[in-house]
Amino acid sequence: MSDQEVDFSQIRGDWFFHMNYLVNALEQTQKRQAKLWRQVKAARNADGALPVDQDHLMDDFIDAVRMTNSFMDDLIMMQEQRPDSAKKGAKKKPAKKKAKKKTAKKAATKKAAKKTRKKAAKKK
Amino acid sequence: MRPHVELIQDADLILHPAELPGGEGRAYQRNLSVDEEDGSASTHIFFDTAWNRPAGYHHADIEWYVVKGALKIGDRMLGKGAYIRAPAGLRIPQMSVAEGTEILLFREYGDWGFSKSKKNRDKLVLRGGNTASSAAGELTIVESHRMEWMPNVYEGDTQRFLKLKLLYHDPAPADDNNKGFVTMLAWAPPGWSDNRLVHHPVFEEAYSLDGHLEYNFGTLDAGTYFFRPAMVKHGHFVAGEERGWMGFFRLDGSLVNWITINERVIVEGDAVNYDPETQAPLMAGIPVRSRTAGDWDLDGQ
Repeated sequence: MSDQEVDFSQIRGDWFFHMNYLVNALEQTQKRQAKLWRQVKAARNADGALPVDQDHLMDDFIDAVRMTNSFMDDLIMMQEQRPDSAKKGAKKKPAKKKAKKKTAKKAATKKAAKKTRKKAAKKK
Repeated sequence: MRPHVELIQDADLILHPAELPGGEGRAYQRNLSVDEEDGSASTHIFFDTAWNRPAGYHHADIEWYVVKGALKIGDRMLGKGAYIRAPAGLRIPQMSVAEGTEILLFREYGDWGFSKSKKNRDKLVLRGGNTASSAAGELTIVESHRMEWMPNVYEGDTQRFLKLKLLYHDPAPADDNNKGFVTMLAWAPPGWSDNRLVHHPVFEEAYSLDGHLEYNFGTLDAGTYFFRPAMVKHGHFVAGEERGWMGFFRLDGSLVNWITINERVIVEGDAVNYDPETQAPLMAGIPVRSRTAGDWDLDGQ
């Protein structure tokens, strides 16, 4: 749906900031849509017909659905512009490097301790 | 010259008899902002009784937005959310309005005059008082509640997450931002924010239809209004949760967003005979000037 790439540097905040905003906006709008739908259903007549004569209620519900729908373009845009650091598994790599470093440090410490024990034993 | 109005609550204003010559019925209006030089005005009109008016043309570019109720233009019935626009001099059909209807009525580049007529004022009626186009103007009728919210691609990417419904667009030419006209509904979704300041080369006017928005000039709730001349900074926006904020916008040209961050104001001077802590002068804003007086050079601001 996004026919040209959006320049995020023009918008205040980074991809993660926008994603958090979008999730919240979508949740709030869907909550309102669900609330209005419950009101619309509660206003059905004895035959089960929706309250089309209660213009205000139906208009509000229709607009709430349109508002929820309007975020789909944003979701696609965010998908297309997802940075590498937001992709699955990206966070694990730095952790592996840290573990290697830790293991190497541990091995070096052990080796040094062994050397010291040998030296001490020789002196005795 | 319209004064910088920012911001007012519609309900605080007094009622006047409505400026709707040629019509039959009783209506009142609140004056949101008025240009006392050319008669342009933004008003909120309340139809106390049913009202009707024969076909004819206005002396200004006019726009109607139905806030509540119903009206009929020609054979077409319209309700809440309907928008009608006609340039000055364009003959429009007979109109009738139901009792209890409320509309926002905007007129630009002319006064409240209306002439009953079977034809246009001139052979060629242009799109509007600020158009760069030589094309003929038309009657625009839009039912905004039938439109989808579109992403804000119109403004470039600086406020991409806002949503719009474009009601009328007379494009500005590439070499002149200050020509043309835009009227739209804008929606800031729940939690939308921008902590920067922005200004534009054109005037920006908005009437709050729904929701809640905090910004540097205060709080925009339903019924609040502003008319902001070109180049006035505004921002630090936070839209309310659940509904966000929705407004009816008008701009006299292309809305370029010029962004400011790290803003600061440095005011210097020696107080000769007053306490600068408790008796400091205010910074003057934009006082209203008429064309003969000309622009203020900001001396002493």
